[in-house]
Amino acid sequence: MDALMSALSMLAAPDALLAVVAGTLVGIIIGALPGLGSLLAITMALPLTFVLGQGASVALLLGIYCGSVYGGSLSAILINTPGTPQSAATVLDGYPMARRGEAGLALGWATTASAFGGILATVILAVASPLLARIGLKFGPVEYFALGLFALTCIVTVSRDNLVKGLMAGLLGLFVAVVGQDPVTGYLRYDFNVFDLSAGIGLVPFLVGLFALSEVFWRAAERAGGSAPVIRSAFRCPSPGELRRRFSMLLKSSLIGTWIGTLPGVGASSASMISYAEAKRSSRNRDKFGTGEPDGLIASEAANNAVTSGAMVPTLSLGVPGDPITAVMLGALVLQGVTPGPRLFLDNQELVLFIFLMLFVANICMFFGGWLMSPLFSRILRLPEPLLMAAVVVLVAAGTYSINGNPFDLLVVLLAGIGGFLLRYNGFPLAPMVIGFVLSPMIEQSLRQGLLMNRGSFLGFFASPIASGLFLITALFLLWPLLSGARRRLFSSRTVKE
Amino acid sequence: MKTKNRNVLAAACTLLGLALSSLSLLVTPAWAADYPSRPVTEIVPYPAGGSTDLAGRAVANAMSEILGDKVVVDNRSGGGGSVGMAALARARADGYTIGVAPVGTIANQPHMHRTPYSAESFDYLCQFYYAPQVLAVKPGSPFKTLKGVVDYAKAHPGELTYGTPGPGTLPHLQIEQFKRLAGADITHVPFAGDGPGLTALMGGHIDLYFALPNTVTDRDLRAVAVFSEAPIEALPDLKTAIQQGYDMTAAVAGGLVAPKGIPEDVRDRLASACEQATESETLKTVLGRVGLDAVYLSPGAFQDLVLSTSKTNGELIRDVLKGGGH
Repeated sequence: MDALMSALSMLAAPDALLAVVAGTLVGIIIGALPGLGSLLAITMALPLTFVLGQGASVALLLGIYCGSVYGGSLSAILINTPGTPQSAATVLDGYPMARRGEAGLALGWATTASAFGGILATVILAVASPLLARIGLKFGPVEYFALGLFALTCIVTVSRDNLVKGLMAGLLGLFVAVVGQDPVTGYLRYDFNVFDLSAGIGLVPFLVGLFALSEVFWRAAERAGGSAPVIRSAFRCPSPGELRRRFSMLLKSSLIGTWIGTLPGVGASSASMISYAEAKRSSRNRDKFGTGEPDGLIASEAANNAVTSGAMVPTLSLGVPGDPITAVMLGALVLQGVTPGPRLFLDNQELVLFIFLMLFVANICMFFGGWLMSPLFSRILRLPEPLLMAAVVVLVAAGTYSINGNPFDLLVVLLAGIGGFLLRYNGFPLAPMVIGFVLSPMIEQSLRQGLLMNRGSFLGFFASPIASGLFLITALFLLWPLLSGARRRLFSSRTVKE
Repeated sequence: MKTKNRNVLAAACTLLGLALSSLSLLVTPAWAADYPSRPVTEIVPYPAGGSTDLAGRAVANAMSEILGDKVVVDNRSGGGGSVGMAALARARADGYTIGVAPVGTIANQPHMHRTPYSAESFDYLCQFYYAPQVLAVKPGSPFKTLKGVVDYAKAHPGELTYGTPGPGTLPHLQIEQFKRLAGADITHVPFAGDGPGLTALMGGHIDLYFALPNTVTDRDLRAVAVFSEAPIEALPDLKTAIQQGYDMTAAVAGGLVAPKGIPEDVRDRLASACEQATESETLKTVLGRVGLDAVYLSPGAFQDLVLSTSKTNGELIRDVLKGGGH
């Protein structure tokens, strides 16, 4: 109780509150700009934490983290370009909604889902953090492999128009990620003696080129021009009735995001894809996925924001950051003299409580920030198209370059843009390629680790109940059309008999 | 029309100004007397927030005060640190670009694949951090001593596993070196960095991991040996590998380097600033928080350490990774 009181007093400090509000708003803007992501936003704020006190530093970083993950959805919906890799799955249904003229509603759903996911995850975190950390530890290489395989089924979901082309694009994505150092032997693969390729193809340049730049090329190629979506409605919150109808989707996606957040190394990009795959499997509106179905948008956005809170579980309770973003946050905490790890929850309870409360506040700020700022962003779309597209090119180049300061990344953006355009021109969907690319390192590394641990035997993978369960779900998902067809036949023949 | 002309004029003037100022950068010689006359860039070959970055930022802060001009950290990550080291090797050798060089990155990577630099491409300034490796075991592990681990591994070849932050990293080669010394067969399972690797150890998915002393104390892990010359303060009861009959030490360390051929007086100025920084209380405290000790080595001694590591590890990499023998 004392801990709670002192956490509340830390929360009420004006500098902490100011930091969380400012952090969230800046995070939303940076997240919405294609190419500038959460990592850049947090890294930019890192020097500020040397001057701010402990409470304000933590508040600033949490605000930026939550805001930037949400911000990515704005550009995903409005200009068909995920602002951050975490929003890659949001494009799938968000942009079609905007094209239909429902951008306001899409923004409303994205904001509601993000805030709901973040808040629910925070509540779960506050109640069950040490327990979740223990469950997360049960995931070893074998379980990660099974999880990655399940997430790959997303490819089927997003290539509804042409499964063969979708699978080809997915394989291409898996393959592009193979460039660089072999994760087990350290050999270089497909580097063609170009040193810059030895570090592999970066996620941000690849993703941004594939979506944003190819979109620019695409619109330039459409000579008529004026086919940009007409945005009339500004921000529109879903009505209570709509909310109630889709509440179970909201809840489930948030739970998936929270849980995946607790697994180190999986990350918000994969989480939103896994959630999307599960939504597609179970939603009542599964046939409409990919054509602007709010359920798909909810699945992605609720999950990726739930990850932000979930990711704090291993970071705080094990001292192990799950991704580069939480690694920077861990670094900032360490500089503030806090040692995350199992003993943090015993030794520094008020700080842990403060972090939970701050996450809560950050998510609320994010909701109102989104509500205030998304009309501004949708106004961007009223800009003349050539101007908007030129701005996207500048942002994409500047944003990508700012991450590593490596000119080679700009070449990757350009080539990915041309490649993306050619793929679209020939009717290949881009989403499967991104899914393959994002999941490839996790699947490859965990498969090969699992084989090393089981001395080259695949049978060992089935010894893990978690992995076996995930394999089973994956198989059921892939066989579902066959199974349901068989059931329908069986059922209809029975009714005929009656 | 008039405004247009004026705009053109303004643009031309700006361009001229830019050209002149960049020219002046080119011709300004770096004299130690007025060095540094502008901020010094310190390349850190790993992302912001990691332990190398935190150490790099701490030494940059301390050196800023000593040099009287800012030392600015520039994170250039990727390729196991080789992207940043390559950028540093290519930078102008005027003392205004220096970099943090973890021993593993500078000594091992050139043996792993073709890099545009080798351990000989740099002028060495100092070592400023060091920490001995500790062999941690998974929770609930039956092993209490290093001998216990070795005996079991000899009786059950390949059954025990050890994790590392990646193939060709310092801990990977150090454990390979230990396997040869002890004649034990333990299977290597590489992870993508210390984060996932340590989680796998804590979850019991692998048996052994080379960790920093503070990793073991902060996360309530258990260790069987420390690979230092003498027992360490943080874990006073833990016996060294030497005490347990295996004559080997292993540590992580790193320092500052510059592109080869910086003016000698500038190098001396940087080396002495680094020595002063290493002795400062602030650097000790910050390094301590990430589990590293501030330990100074002179330019010559640090160079010898890197070159000898490069030699040993070059042979190990050829045998273990390129020879394919696990």
